[in-house]
Amino acid sequence: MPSPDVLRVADPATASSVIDRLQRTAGNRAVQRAVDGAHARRPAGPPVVVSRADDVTTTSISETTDTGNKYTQDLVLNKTKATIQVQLGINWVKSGTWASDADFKAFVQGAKNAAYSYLDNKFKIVCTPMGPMASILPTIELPISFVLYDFATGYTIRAHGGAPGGGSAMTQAGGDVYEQRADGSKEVPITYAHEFGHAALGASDEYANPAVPGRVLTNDHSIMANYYQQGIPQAEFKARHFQHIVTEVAKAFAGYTCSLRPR
Amino acid sequence: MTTGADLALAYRRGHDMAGYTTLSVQTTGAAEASRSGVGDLDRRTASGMLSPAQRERLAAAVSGADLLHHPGSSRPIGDDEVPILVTVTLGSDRRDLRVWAGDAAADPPFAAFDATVRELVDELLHGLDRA
Repeated sequence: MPSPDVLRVADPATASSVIDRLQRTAGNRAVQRAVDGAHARRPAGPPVVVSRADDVTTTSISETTDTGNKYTQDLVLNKTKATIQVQLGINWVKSGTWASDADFKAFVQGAKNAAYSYLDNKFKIVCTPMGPMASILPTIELPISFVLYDFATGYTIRAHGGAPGGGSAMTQAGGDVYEQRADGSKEVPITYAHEFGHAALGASDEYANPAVPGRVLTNDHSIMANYYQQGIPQAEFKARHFQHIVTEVAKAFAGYTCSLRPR
Repeated sequence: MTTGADLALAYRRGHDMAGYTTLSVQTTGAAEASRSGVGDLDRRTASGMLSPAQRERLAAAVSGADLLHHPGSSRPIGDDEVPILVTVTLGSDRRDLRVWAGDAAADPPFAAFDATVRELVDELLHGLDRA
């Protein structure tokens, strides 16, 4: 812990610089305690408030599916607020037939809402201190949320309205989502969430495809598997779909063990 | 251009999520067809002999798409994209072909072949003979 003496500086700009440097090296709480101590020894005056911008890092993360398509997102780690956000900028392109711009926008919002309902705040990363600091430092819990935002130069998704319908699919270069299936029936929301399993997580499919003979097939109600056979109500993302995020976040918590838990 | 007498075909379009459409035709004209819905549910099958007219339509579609020399898809298949797997035999020539749905749609002769096969599957499943 730094000596309170270092806080006895003459001009506010220098004080701010010193406090900022101390916060980075010693941490917020230690600096606040030091300032409180200095303040207690001062004559009466206004309280000293220590504040700084959140400790936020943004990292580009990528996963490659078993088809060889690579998907990239931004991982935003806010250590101050203990949050993790996966961000994907999307360039939505209107395709096919839409009755109006409002219909197109409603479809896009519906597809995003479907994705959020399966992805957002379903898991958290728990980082537990190890070694001599284990009894001193607290365990840190970081919920994982998602932001799918409109971005003109982002990942392109063509939203196809009306007939003919088709099969929604994603590739590294962009994706296609359809309002209607090839047989003319209305596509179900879980399909859009499944597609964002590729675009936002880089998760591989887990159902049989004769063009991908080595695929790992699952039967545990994964949203990336055949949910028509296993049950749509039970379908969900699994911890394995978030493992790469744990690996990335753990790099920022040296001295901790980080693991994924349901929220 | 074949008349269909020396043509054999094995066609399979789809995957477990999209469901499958299949057609198998022997040089004798004996054919088996199937179709399933999403999740590979509600599978229907049919078998029978293609009429001479149906065999000629199929042969014309195979010839039009030049399946024996078709390059197939060279890019990685998309996630959830539907594959079309075809084995065609014409006399002593044989070709195994893999075309992804996106490439098929952008290739009019292959798309016409694909449409013809699916029409024949419909006809077999509905017991139709458009001779």
